[in-house]
Amino acid sequence: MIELLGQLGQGFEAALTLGNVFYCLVGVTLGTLIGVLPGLGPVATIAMLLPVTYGLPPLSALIMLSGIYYGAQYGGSTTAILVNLPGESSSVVTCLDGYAMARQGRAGTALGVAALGSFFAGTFATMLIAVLATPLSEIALKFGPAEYFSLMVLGLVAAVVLASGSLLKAIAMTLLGLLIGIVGTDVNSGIERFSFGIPELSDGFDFVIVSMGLFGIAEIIHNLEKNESRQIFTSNVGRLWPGREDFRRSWKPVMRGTFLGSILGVLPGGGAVLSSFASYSLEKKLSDDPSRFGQGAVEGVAGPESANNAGAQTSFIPMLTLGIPSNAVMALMVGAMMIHGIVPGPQVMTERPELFWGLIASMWIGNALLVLLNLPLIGIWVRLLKVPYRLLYPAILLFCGIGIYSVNQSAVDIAFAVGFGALGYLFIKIGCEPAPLLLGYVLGPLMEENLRRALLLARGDATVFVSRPLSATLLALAVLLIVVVALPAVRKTREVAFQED
Amino acid sequence: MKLRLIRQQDFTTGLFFLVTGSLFAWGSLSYKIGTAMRMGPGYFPLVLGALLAVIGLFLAARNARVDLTREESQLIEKPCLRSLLLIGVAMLVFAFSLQSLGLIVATVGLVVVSGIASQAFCWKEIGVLSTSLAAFASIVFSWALGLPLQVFPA
Amino acid sequence: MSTVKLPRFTRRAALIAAALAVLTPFAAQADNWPSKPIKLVVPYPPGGAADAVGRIVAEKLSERLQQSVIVENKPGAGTAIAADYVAKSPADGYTLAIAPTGQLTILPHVQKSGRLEPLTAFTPISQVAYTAVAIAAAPNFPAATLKEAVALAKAKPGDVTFSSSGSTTIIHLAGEYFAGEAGVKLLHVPFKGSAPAVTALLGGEVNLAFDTLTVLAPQIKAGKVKGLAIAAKERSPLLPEVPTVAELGYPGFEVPSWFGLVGPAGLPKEIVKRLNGEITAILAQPAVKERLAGQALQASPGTPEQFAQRIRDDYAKYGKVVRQAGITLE
Repeated sequence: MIELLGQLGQGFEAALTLGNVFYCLVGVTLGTLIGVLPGLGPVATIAMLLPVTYGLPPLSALIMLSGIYYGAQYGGSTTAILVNLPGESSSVVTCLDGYAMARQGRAGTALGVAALGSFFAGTFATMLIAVLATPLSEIALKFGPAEYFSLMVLGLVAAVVLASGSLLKAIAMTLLGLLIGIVGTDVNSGIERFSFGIPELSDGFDFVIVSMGLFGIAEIIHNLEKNESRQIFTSNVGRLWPGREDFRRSWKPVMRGTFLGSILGVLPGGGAVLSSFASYSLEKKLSDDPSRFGQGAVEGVAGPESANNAGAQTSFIPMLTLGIPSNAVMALMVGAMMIHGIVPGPQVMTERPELFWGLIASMWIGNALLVLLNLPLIGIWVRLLKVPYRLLYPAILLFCGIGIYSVNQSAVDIAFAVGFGALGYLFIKIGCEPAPLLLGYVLGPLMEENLRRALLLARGDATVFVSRPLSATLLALAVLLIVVVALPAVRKTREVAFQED
Repeated sequence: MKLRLIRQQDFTTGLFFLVTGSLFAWGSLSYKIGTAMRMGPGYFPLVLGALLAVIGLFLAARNARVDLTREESQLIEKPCLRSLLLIGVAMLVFAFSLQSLGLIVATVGLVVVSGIASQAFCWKEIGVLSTSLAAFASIVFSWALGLPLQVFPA
Repeated sequence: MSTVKLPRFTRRAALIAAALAVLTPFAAQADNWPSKPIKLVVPYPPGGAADAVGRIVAEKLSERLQQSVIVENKPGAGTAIAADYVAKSPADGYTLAIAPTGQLTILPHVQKSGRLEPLTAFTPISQVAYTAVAIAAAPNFPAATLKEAVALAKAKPGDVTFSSSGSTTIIHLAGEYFAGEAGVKLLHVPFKGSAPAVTALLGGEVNLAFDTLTVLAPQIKAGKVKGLAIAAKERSPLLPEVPTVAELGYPGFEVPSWFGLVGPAGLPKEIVKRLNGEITAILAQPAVKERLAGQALQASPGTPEQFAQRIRDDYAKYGKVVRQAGITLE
């Protein structure tokens, strides 16, 4: 413990220099900005800034780059809440209740809860990294293909619980998402599926294409058909800050979300995606009145936002302790370290302790800066909603367009997004929710890939999923969840709660 | 009195899933299917597509009731093809003018075409909006963030 | 899926636009080149070794040519999208590309359509840098040397597994090539990129992993996995204790993963000469060598002819591996 404090002290000493605090501030500010701009993700920004960091000391460079990453998580929730645009898979669920709250004039509350919840989650996860990084990294190695497959099954079962419409429709939407996720090159055989010889489809649809289409473009088309004298947002903005009642409802979801996110964030590939969905499902299951979810329940913002931020922090663990990047942003961080002659891997912690602990300390500083930066911004964001919608939607379309284009420098991608926009509009008309589709789409390729890889490694022996304890536990949880949902008594209340709308 | 499906939404949803699922299942037949133990690339989509089609069929069949007496409870709102079309065209104009004509022209194109979709369309307002958005986008995305975007016509 | 028909139209539009660009009078003139910014296409997303090479080259070329060189990441389809894009760009010296080994020497053997023969679709300018492919074993794998691993694979054909960063990558080919040379059967387990492939090795999900030194050297150094051999002419200064595959009884077994600078076919000779000279000068700078070394890469300048010969040799070599191992995208 003493040793840990000493190391943390060393870290703060390294991170609290004027220069490093400055780079941290630059990083989180830039992160917030690109997070707010829909479609423009941290990957593109960090890639562009990588050359800029050549000239900086390694610690400053890493502090700034990681600031961009978790800053973007904060900013991403802003766009999700205000204009229903999830720029990253983790903010999809924030759209559900956050946007509903914004339309009711409670955007300030939603943004405030998201910021404070994220701060708590960030602080907790940073502490977790400091204390438990090495043992937690073992979890990542315990997850073989069988475990990943079982985790995906659990995630999809949770996605069905998450839907607020009919159960059957939710299952169908998840299946459709899985199928859309299959488009592109199959990892196991290398052949292209459902790509119709179009080169832009050989790696499937990028997440931004699907989400901007289904959520952003579809929502705009839907809003435009309404008579515009009817306001999209209530002009009465209401209170700017979360009230006592909001805090009472939120603190438990924040704790649970933080816990879920911290654990799932450690898993490379798919873990972080699941955390916000899992948190939402959990809050809905635990709620006294699940029907409030989707209609602007503050718990539906507090839990997932905390989970997603905690996951963003703990996703540094595999990179810091094993030298293995768990997502594209971490891959860039590895690149940044290599440019500075630091070989990422297990030895960083012992050979360059000031770097390891300095980065951890900077994460806490960065989270504090983010709260200070974001709380005053809420006022500005809320005022943005007072801009007449006829002026707002062309701007949203423009940002979507630039965001989608900048992913692959491809105009065809925007055309695909238009297609998904039309599909999303159809879903609104026939009363199907796009959220389960999006989760299925994200998890589908991972699920198939790991299923087939597990069977390949087990030489076709399907018992591998139940003979490995961790995998068996996850599957058992999934079964348990199905039983809970399918129990006649529960189902009855569910039908009453959901079919009447 | 007209004879109408009472659960139009769910019936259409069912049909949609039935068709989409069948298409995917049919499409996956052109890939190697393999066995459950050694799956080919066609296995997973075939199973998923078939499942989707079955759910779709079930949904459609369950909701294919007609009722003469009661009010229709679940009709599909008439889709607004005008805004769908205009928004789609606006995005496509933007997409395919960006590379050759540059960000400024593309932005003006997008704002004008999408602006027509609004019932409160007014040339003056759209003019101001497109100019300011073009300036904002050029400054923020191209200059400040350094995205590799063509700003002026090539 | 109403959008299916669209792209064909757009591709044609793009082609027409490209054709118009060629017709503009100043573009094809070589004497005042470069008179406008140059695009450097990198076929992978930001972050990997290819991107690092591209950014170093772009930065230094900008300085020397007094004209900005902009990196454009065009990932997708295992480099096929970037290859197609570059091959169809005007050969005016304003579109260049970083081409990895696989794009030029493996892709043409396995593609069903849109195949681009490396020496007719592109103009080789210079090799830039390379790294060797290494073989590592999982901590829980009984074999500690390459010999033991081969013996195990011989005893149970098809039982020993190896992970790769994807089907038909240079890594996959290295595995199949080695299996062929050693006369064993290994079970190929493809992953989506190096990170998960190495994670699987660390966790003992697979027995062996082939990957570049960039990826494997840190893990071998830290003792997290067993370094069995390096598929290069000489041992690496990064891992002096790990033998080469050739030393262990497979003479001539070499799998370098290199990156070269290419342009579209028909690039004017003067431009090729100028660029080759600049690259050679850039690669001689100690600062550049150091930055490459950070990615376990070694500078490997040479003439355009040497680079073309390298492409021919590797093209023939991997064509043979593809046929022998029966690798197809069917």
